[in-house]
This record gives sequence, structure tokens and C-alpha cells, in this order.
Amino acid sequence: MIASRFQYYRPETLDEACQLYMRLQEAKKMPLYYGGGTEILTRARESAIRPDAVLDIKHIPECRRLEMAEDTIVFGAAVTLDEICRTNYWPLLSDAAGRVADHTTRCKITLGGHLAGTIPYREASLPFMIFARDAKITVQGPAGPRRIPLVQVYDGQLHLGSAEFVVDLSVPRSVRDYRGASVKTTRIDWVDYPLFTVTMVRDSSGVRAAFSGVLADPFTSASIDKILSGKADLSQRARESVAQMNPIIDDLHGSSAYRRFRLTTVISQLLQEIGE
Amino acid sequence: MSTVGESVRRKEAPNKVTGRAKYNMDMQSPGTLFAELVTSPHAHARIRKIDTQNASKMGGVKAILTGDDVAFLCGEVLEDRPPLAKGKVRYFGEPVAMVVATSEADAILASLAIEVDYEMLGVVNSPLGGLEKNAPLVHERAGDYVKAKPPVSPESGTNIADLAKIRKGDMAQGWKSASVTVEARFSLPPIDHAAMETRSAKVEILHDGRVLVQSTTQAPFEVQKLLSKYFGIKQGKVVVETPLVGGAFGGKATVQLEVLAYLASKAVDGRLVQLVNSREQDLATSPVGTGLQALIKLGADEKGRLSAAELTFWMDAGAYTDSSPRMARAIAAECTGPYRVDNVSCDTYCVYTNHTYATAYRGFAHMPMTFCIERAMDKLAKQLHMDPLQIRQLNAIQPGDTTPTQVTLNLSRLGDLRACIERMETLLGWEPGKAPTHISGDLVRAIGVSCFWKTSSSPQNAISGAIITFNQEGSMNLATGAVEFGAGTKTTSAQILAERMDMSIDDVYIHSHVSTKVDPEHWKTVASLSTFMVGRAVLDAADDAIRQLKTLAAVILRCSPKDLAVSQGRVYIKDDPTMNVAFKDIVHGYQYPEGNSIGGQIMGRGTYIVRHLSPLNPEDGEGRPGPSWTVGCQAVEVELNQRDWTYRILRAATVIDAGRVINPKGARGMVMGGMCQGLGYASREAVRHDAEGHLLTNQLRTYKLMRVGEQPKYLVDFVETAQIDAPYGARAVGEHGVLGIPSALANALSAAAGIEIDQLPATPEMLWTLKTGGIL
Amino acid sequence: MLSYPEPGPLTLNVNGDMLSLTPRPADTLLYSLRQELGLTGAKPGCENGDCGACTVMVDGLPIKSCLMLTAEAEGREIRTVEGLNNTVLQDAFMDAWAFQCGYCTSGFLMTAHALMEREPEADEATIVEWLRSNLCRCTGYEEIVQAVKAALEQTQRS
Ligand code: FES
Ligand code: FES
Repeated sequence: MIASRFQYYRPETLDEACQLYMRLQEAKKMPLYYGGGTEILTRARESAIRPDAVLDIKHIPECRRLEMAEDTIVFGAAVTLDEICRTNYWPLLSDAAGRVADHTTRCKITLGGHLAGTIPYREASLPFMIFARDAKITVQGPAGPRRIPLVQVYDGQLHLGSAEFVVDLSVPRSVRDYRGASVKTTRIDWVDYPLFTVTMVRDSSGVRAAFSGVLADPFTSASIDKILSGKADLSQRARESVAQMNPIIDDLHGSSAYRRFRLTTVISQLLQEIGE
Repeated sequence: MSTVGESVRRKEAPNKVTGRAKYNMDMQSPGTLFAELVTSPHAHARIRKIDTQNASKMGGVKAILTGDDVAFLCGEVLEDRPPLAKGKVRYFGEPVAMVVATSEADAILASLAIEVDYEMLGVVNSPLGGLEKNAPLVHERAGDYVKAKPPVSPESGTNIADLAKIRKGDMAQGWKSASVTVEARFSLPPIDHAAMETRSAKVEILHDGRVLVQSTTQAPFEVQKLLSKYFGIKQGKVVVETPLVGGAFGGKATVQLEVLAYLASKAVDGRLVQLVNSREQDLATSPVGTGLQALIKLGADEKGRLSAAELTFWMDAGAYTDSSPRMARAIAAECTGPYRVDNVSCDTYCVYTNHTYATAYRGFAHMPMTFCIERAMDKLAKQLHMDPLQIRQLNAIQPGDTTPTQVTLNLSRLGDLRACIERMETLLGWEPGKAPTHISGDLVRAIGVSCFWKTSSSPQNAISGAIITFNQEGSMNLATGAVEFGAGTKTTSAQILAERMDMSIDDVYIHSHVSTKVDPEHWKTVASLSTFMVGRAVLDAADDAIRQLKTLAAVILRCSPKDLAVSQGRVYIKDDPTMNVAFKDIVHGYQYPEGNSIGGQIMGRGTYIVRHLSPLNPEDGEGRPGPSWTVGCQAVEVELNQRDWTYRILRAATVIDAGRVINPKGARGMVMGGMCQGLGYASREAVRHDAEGHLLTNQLRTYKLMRVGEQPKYLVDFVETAQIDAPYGARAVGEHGVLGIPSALANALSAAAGIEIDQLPATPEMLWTLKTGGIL
Repeated sequence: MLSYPEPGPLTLNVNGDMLSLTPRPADTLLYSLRQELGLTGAKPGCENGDCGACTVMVDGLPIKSCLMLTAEAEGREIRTVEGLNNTVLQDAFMDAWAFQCGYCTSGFLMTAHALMEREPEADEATIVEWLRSNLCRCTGYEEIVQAVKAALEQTQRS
């Protein structure tokens, strides 16, 4: 059970949530915005965190948007990964999000929580990182919501100001036109934390890739994209790009040498898959 | 009407699919107090100070206990384990203190407020590490501990907790006749039982002195005896109940939480206290299955006939012995695998390490032991250019051969391994000598095989019992002391009773809970012995009831009891079944038409005690460790991707000599489940520690189990060589599905990858490292 | 705004019944179902989202009840194993011997039941993807997959 005590609030508007957060902070309380809550609950049970209040943002209409309009696709922060896969507005995102945890848990994990949490993999962010130039994020803060380029607040980790939370992410509908693929590898189990996840797309200007589980946080790299877009044969491109990655994680799931080996095979396989 | 041999549904099935089946923590009593453990974050450290001041002032706290409050040591064989650590901690997760509070939340919060000051000590992180020259000592004076159930031979000043020896034949002669030898080292990690239900115990001490215990134990009668012994309470005052158990696999046969819950209840004036393992505690604090290191030397003549086996096993006993000394003897007793070897020398060491202590796990250490032998057999076959099944067929142990402990075998005791191997060849479509097959691109398929045997290694005086009472309508109630944790023990015993009485299984009622107060003792529900022992007791009880039924019916039907038989709830005259009397008219006494009554209640009483077992001689191991053996042959087929060293497990097969299959779907399910566990251990499961001995796998997201989609296609078949003294000839089959599977998988992968897999788990990373040296 | 700053009375819709209880705001749905409502079909196996033994249905989807607050479940439709009665699925589980100890069974049943409602035409890959949210330590899994397939086939036929 969760031994510590916290309060539960279910704000209905963006402002209400933010105001309440600030009020609690002023009262020297530690509030947490609560999306799917999977990480908050497991960590609270272990007493690794002791929030004083959770603010469940799932009933704020703006956070629940999941729409494909004429020119943009919007993913509300409180949309679950399962909903993202089920609607499949952006197949590349479905690919990446559909490999997080297991199906039942994906019915609970929300996109916002997935990005804001402390579990470092954040695989569902990889497609957005690839389209960083075009991806937008709406952040609610004390001054109201603001819609800004994703890169301003997300570089593999989310950097938000006090009392701020994610409302939605959006990308131009044209992201659907790119040929792309995402591969997650694990130590051996299908359901496990990743050894690493690689997402890759290709357009006329070349190949772009994003990685998770390789370095401390998800990342993209212009120099790696350049190598991947080069003329060398696929396995050489793979080797050269992996050589750029340092220091590669060494943990329970796999050594860095092994990650390096698997990355090399997966990258060349992906290059092939996207038509290089 | 035949019930034996039918796949009758388990008795408790309808309750299990409606959420109505009750497990230990499904029954709550208002007013229960909650105990919570503070456990060690270090593998080996001196306890400088435990500060409970802040915690004791917290809301709801009723009592706090530490090692200083407990004056005795526990241990089934050797009393070496303080229920709460005293002076020092010896493994990550060891209980250090315990809080009792009015609510679960308060108990947890207070446990977090207890501060323990530790001074780090060096750690023993593997059995061989424990034998190194300057290894830290896990126990300084192990030789001084009380030996509760000898034999056990701890050596002070070392980490050796015990040594079991086998000396059979003449080793010099054995090596002389050998024209080929193999020598190999193996290293296998501990395994966790990982039953889906974690362990828990509730204890209440009444003011009349009775102690009421309800726990997830596989061994309620052992809990009763140990509590009685540790706390000086008369056995009759200790009542232990076990409801349905959510998986056990040996891990719930050990007595741990019951002792702690008793201490907790005692500290709060005997009030009802519950102690429940979180998953993290179940993995770290409660015992695991043993890890094993080994050095195996086999010698064979040019035809492949084994002539010598020199074997050394080092068990990872962990911080305390628990049942490890018994497992050491079990390994020793079957150390050659199911093969005839006339010259054997085997030393099995129990080594103390700073790991969670080991206890029985499905197969009683035979799974890792079998791994070493079966891998060595494949190496031998390779050297001799022999087919792996052929070399096993050639050496398969036969009636007339002797075991490492010098028991002479006969067909009834042993079963027919050769028939199992033959059946396996058919099942697999085996092509002798076939090399791994390239499928396409980087994919290679290979099959690995193995054989196993196992006896019970149970105490020489293990007992069981059964009591049959009748309802007035003529149906029966069957009481036995075997726990139902999924193996279908209760249903099987009901089948045996129905068969003997020639009645419908629907007319046999069982109680899925066990209580030491009303149920006749069954030693422990372990070692796959329940069908045999309980079954024998049930048959004995049935015969007793039949005798009484006939005696009474003989009076009514005016004949000799010898003229009578029972069937379909009636006692009838054999040569004229129209003359009969219904059970319903006699089981609660018979009333003559004019009103007078005779007879009284009919109650069948049956017992069984194992016979002719003897302890193993400490010098050469001679002795008889179990009533019979179960033998079998297993195989695993893999498809390996030689590009990235990932693989799929395509098929897993078992042929087992079951003696007689009492419940085909039940037996098949047990074997498949065993194979699945074996595959899990072979491919992913491992209790893992860092260099300081911290447990890295204390959740199910790091201690990985197989999931749907990862299981292979299962092939299961049975050979039926009756064990004459067993109920309907049925042999033990509960544990065995697991035994040879890890070795079969490793044999398959070794062949497919062209490497020697002598450690586990065989992850793609391990294959890659072995193949390439870990160099890109 | 709905708020539970303190343990407070709330009403849950469980198996069609409106049930009142007074959970702490930090109580999980698993805890409340078991401890307050006596619905012990959902089992704790890890309380960490790893095993699926606690799976229930919430608004038609499988949810691990250890990963949901009771307060969060307010206003939603909860279905537990106790709400299944005489279904094709339960029969199929008994027929296929899809359990031994039975501890994982409620969770598997609820995952499978949600699957049957949401994906009545589920193919093998979908069945596997849903079911691998749950752990079983006793069976070889084949029995469970067979039971679910049999139940799906039977409902498709009728
Ligand atoms: S108890 Fe909820 S997933 Fe294990
Ligand atoms: S039947 Fe025991 S865990 Fe599944």
C-alpha cells in the first residue's frame, strides 16, 4: 500500500490546476501534477517520493485533446499511450509508444506523464525529437497557456518552470508523409525496459534519428544524422554513428559494449527498412 | 466408473474463476495489527546502533523489536539464523527490526523512521569466493551452532556449512578404463520461486495459551513443530491453518514469517498480527533457490560407456543453511544423473555467502545439478562424435544397476528411461547425428536434449494420513494434511478415493484449507510426494471404510463380509448385486424397520509412513534417500539468429515415466508449467548482485519471468511403468518438468552457436560475449 | 473541482452497484476493492504494475488496479472478476486447465474479458500483446492462450 498521505484534486480547467498548484506551494506543500500516475504511485509506494497532493489533470478538456486536423495533429498530455496507438494518427509515434511497458499499463500511462517522469527512456518522445523543428508544445503556467517549439523545453528531459505542466504536443500533419520506423531492443524479454530504442525517418534531405536508452537521456544529433545520411555502406554508417555515442549506458540490462554491438546491427537494419 | 486416468476438473476450479477462492490475505479480521520489517540495505555489515526512538513515538506504533529482543536461533537442520539480525547483517534484505502498529500505513511509516548505523564488512559474493584464502567469514563460529537435524558438518573459521560425500567403486580403475574424459566448470545463479502470491503469516496468541497461525506455508505441521520448539509451547496449543496457496515451488516450505509474526503478536499481548511480504521483500528477504558452481569430470570408454565421474559441487547456501544441507545430500545422491557409473566420487559443499539464503526450489537442487551433468554429457558426446540421445540411451540407468548411494534398482523403483528416450525420438522426429540446420539468412535451428532423475530425499520417517467421513446421503468428506498450491493434490486424492470406492468424484468433498487441528498430519507438501504418500493413506482409509461398510452390511444382508463388494454408493452381494444396501442407509448407522439401530458412524482412517529409507553414510554416502525415482527425457529446440544472437524457443518436449497418469490434463499442465519455469531460468531469470552484494533484482521488472508469447510449443508424453507400491502405480511428477530444461536449452544453443554455454542465464548478450569475446 | 484533501466518502460504480466507501486519498483502487469492499478477486502480486494480478476493467479497458487511485476511479465504470458470472471465458479457463494455483487467474480473466469486448476479432498477435501484461508462474501459458482463443471463437460463432 501507499503509506504516505497525500491529497487528491481533480481540477477541471487549466487555470484551476495551476492556481491550486501555486496555492499548495505557498502553503509549503509539495504538489505533483498527476497524469496516468503510474510512476507517482509506484514511487510513492516505495516511499521514494512523498508528495503532499496530486493534481489529476485528466479531466481538463485541453489535456485530453487527440485530434487530427487539416494541418496539425494534437496529442493532449492526458491522452494515454494506448489511445495514441489505437487512433494511430501518427504511425511512427504509435510504433514508439506501443513498445512502452505492456498493453494494460499503456492504458494508464499518459503522454505527459511519460515525458515528465523520471524513468529516463521516454521512448514516445523520439518521433517528436526527430521533428523538433516543427513540433510544438503547449505549456500551462501561472501566466496561462503558451504554445512554443518543443525544443525550447525538451531536450530529452523536460525543463518546465515552477507550477507549469504540459497541456499538449502537436506536429504538422505532414510528419505522416515521411518514411520511418522505430525499433526497441531489450535484454531478452518483450516486456522490459529497453536496451535502447531507435527511431528513424528519411526524407529528400536525408536521414534523421533519435535514440533512447543509449546515453543518459533521449537524444538526437546533427552529426549522427549526417553520418546516417552519408554515402558509405549501411554497416559502416552504423558503426561510425555509434562511435559518436559516449558514454553508452552500462547497466543491468546490458553492458555498453553489447549495446554498441546491438546498436550497430539495429541501425543498419533500420536504414535498410527506411529505404537507404 | 473410472476416475483415475480422467481429466476431472480441479475441485476448486469454479471458485478460482470467480475470484471466490480464498488465499491467505483475502481474509481480513477487524482489529488486526500490522507488522512491518526493516531490512538490511547491505549484504554484510556490523550493526553499530539501531535507533528506534523517533519511530516509537509515531502514531499507531504498538511495539518495535530488534535482534536484542530475540534470544534464539532458527534453522531446520542447523540453528544458525536469528529471526532478526543480531550483531551483524549477512544479506541484503535481512530483517533487522520489526514494527507493530495499528494500521499498515503507520507500520510502514514507523519502519522508515528507524535508523540503523552500519559498519561495512567485506562480502562473499559466490560459493567459490567464499572458499578463497582470505575470504570474509559469514559466520565466525559456525561449528558451534546447534545441530537440530544432523547430519550437518559446519567448519568454524571457514565458510563451509556442510559437506556431503559419495565414494562408490574404484576411481583409479574408473579412470583407467576411460579412453575419453571431459572436464568442465559451471556457474549457475540462484533462482527465485517468484510465486505470484507473496509469503505472509498471521498469528494470534489467545489467553488460554493457544497460538493460532494462518500462513501461506506448504508445511503447516512443520510450522507447528518449530513454533512449539522455539517458544516452548505444547504442540497441541499451536494451530496452523493454510488456505489455498498462490504458488509455492518449495519456497513456502521454509519457516520464516511465522516466527516473526509470533514474536510480533507476543509483543502486543497476543493480539492478531499480520506480516505480509511486499514483492521486494519476497525477493530479497525470504529464501531463494540455490545457485551452484561445479567442477565435473567424466570418463568413458571408446564406445561412450561411462566409467568414472568425479564431481564437486559448491552450493550457494546464502547467509544461512535452512534446508541446504539436505539439498547437498540430494545432489550427492543423484550426482551422476540417470546414468550407470560404477566409479563415482562426489563432494557437495554448502558454502555460506552474503546472499539471500537458499531453500528448496522445485526439484530440490536437481535442476542446477542436472544442468552440469547434462552439459558434460553433451561435451562427452561431442568428443566421441556420438549422437547426444544415443550416448544417453547407452548409459541410461537400468534395473539391476546401483545408484551413487549404492541402492540397487528394480523396474518398479526406477521406471524406464530407455523407453522415455525412445518415445522422445519419435516425438521430435529425431534424426541421429543431425547438425544444426540453417534455415535462411542468419537463422539456425538446433535441438538440445537432456535426461533427469529424482527421488524424494525425504526424512526416513515422513508420515501422511487421511480421514474419510460420510454425509448421511452417502457422499464422502476427505480430510488430508496436504496443502493445495496449484498441483491439484486435493483433486488427485479425491480421484483416488472415488476410484477405490467406485463412486463418482462428485460424491467426494474435500476441504481446500488445511488445519493442523483437524487434518491428519502430512509431513510437508513438497518433493512431489503428495500423490504417493497421501494417496497411500487415502487407499488405506478407503479400505478401512469399506471394511466397516461390509461388516455392517453383512449383518443386514445376512452374509459374510467376504461375500460383499462396494460400488456406486452401495454394498452388494458379489454374485447377486440385486441384494444390496445403500450407503445412505448405513453410513450413519442402520435402522431396522421397527426402529432399532445398529452400527453408528462409519469413518475411514488411513495412514502411511515411508519405509526402508536410511540416512546417507557420511563417509561414502551409502543409504537409501527415497522410496522411488522418476526418470525422463527432455528436449528444447531453438532458432538462433547468428547476426545478433537473439533466439526463439520453438519447441520444448518432455517424456516422463509417470507410472500411471491419474489426471492427464493436470499432469500435462504440471509438466508444461515446469518447462516454462525451466526455460525462464535458462534464458532470463537470475538473482543478480552487484560487487558489494546488493540485490539488483528485487522487483518483477528486474527479476524477469517468461510471459505470454515467449513460450514454445510444448510436447508432453508419458511412459507408464507402474510403481508397484504407489497408488494405481503413479509416480511423482510434480516438480520434474523443470529439471532438464535449462540444460536442454543450453545444449541447443551451444550447438547452434558453436560455443560452450556453461553458465546461465543464456541471454543474447552472453552468447555474443562467448562467441566474440565481447569485442566488436 | 472534485477534491479529497482528507479521507472522504465517495461512491464507486463496481459491477453495476453503487458502493460507498471512505478511502484515504492515497489508497489505490486495488487496496480499496480488497480492504474496504471485500472484493478480493483482484490480487496484489507486486503493487508495482509488473504482474497484472490486480487487473480490473475500468470503462471497458484493462487497468492494473494497483496503478489507479480510488479517488481517480470515482465516476468510472469498474468491473471486477466478481462481476463475471457463467461467461464463456470462465468456462474456457476451466476446460483448458488455464490455471493451477489460480492466483493470477482473476487478472488474466479481466484482461481477456476486456479483449473480448474491445477486440472480438482479435488475431493471435493482439491476443498475445494483451495477455503479456499478466504474469503466471504456474502454467506454461499455452493453456491460457488456448482458453482465450476458444472463448473468442465461441462468441464469434454465436
Ligand atoms: S499488483 Fe498490480 S500489477 Fe502486480
Ligand atoms: S496459476 Fe499460479 S500464477 Fe498462474
